[in-house]
Amino acid sequence: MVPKTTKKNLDSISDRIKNTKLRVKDLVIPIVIAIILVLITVFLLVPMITKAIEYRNQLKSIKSKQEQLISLKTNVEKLSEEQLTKDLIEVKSVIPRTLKVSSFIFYIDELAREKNLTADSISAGDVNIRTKEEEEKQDGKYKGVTGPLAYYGSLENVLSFLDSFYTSSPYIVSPQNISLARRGDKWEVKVNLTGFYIVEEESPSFNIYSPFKAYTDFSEIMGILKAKAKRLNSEGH
Amino acid sequence: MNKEEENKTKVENTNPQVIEEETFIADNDNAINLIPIMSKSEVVAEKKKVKLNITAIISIITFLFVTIGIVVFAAVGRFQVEDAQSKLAKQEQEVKGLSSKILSNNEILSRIYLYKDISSNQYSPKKIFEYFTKIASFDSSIRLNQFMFRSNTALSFEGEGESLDTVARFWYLLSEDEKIEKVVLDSLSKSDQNVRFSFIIGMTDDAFNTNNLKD
Repeated sequence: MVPKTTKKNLDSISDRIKNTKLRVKDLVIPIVIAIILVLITVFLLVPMITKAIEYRNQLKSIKSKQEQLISLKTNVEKLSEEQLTKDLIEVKSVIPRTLKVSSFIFYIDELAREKNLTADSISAGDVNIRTKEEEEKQDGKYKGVTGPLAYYGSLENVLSFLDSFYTSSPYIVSPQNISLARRGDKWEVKVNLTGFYIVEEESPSFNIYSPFKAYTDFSEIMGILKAKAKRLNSEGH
Repeated sequence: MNKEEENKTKVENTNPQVIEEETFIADNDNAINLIPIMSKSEVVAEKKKVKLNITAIISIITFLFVTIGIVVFAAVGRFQVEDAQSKLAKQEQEVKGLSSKILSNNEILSRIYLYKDISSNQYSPKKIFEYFTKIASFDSSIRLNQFMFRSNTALSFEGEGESLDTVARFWYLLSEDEKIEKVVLDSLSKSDQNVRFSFIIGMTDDAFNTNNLKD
C-alpha cells in the first residue's frame, strides 16, 4: 500500500506536470496582443508610412518647382527690359498681328518689277495656315495672306524672282504650288504666295512651370528678323 | 520489498541525472514536502518563460519606438511640405511680377518658331530646275516645257524628246540619280514630230533644302 505522503507528492507532481502543459487560456493574451499589434500596424502604421512617403514625394516635387522658378526668375531677370521691348517691336513689324494685304502685294509686285517681269494676275485673301505642330490643334495660331500670282518674263528673271522671295522679302513668306511653263521664248510663273502673321490672344496667359526659353538663345534668327525689320522701316512700309 | 523500495533500487541503477530528477519522489525520511523541489526540466521551462517575457517586452518597446519614429517622420514631413508650399507661393508671386517680360519673350519666341517652321521647308526652285535641266542636257533634243513644284521633295515636269529611245534613256538617268527617290512616268504620247512625256518625281529628304544648298 502506498503511504499517504508519497501519494500527496505524486499528486503534486502530476498537478505540476499538468500545469506545464499549454492550455488555451495561456494563448489568449498573446493572441489578443498580436491581433492588436497587427491592427495597429495595418490601420495606423501603414497609412502613416504611406503618408510620410507621400510627403517626401510632395516635398521633392515642390523643391523641383522651386528650382524651376529660381531658374525662370534668373533667366527672366537676365533679359534687359529695354532691349526686349525694342526687339519685340522689330519682330512684330516683320511678323505682325495682321498683315496688310496692300503692303504685301505691293512688295511682291515691286520685286517682280525689279526682275523685269510682267504681271498676269494678282489676287489675295486671308487664309488660315496651319503648321505641322498645329495640325493637331483646333485653330491655327499662324495666319497668312495668300493669293495666286502670275508673272512672265525670261527664265533667268523668273527663277531669280522665285529665289528672291526668301532673301528679299521683309515679310515671312512661303511660296506654294509653284509652276513654271514655257510660253514661246519666255516663261510664266504661277505661285500661291503666303505671307504670315500671328493672331494675338486678347488676354495672353502663360504657365510659369512650362519650360522657359529666352529669345536671346536664337541670336541667328533674331539677326535675320532684325535685318528684315530694318529693311521694312527704311522702306517705310 | 514494497514498491517504494523497488523504485529506490531502480533509481540507484540509472544515471545520476534521472536520480536527481526523481529525488523528490523518493524522500527517504517520509516527511511531507509542502514545496516540492523543481526538477531540472521545470527550471528550464521556467527560464524559457522568463526569456519569452523579456523578448515580448523588448519587442513591444521596439514596436513602440518604431511607431514613435514613424509618427515623428510623418509629422516632420508634413511640416516640411507646408513650409515649402508657403515658400513656393511666395516665389510664384515674385515670378508673376515678371509676367510682362515673360509674355513679351513668348511673343518673340512664337515669331521665331514661325520663322523656323517656314524656313525649314524652304527650297530653291531655281536649283531644282537647273538640276533637272542638267540631267536632260545629255541629249539636245530633250526639251523641258513645264515644271510644277509641290514641295521640297515632290515635283512633276513635262517635256518632249525626238524619239522613244531618247525619252527611255532620260527616264533611266532619272531613276539612277542619287537625289531622286522615285520616278513615275505619268504620261507618254508619240506623234509624228516628237514624243511628249511627263514625270512625277519624288526626291530624297532634304536633297534640295535651302540649308543644304548653302553648304
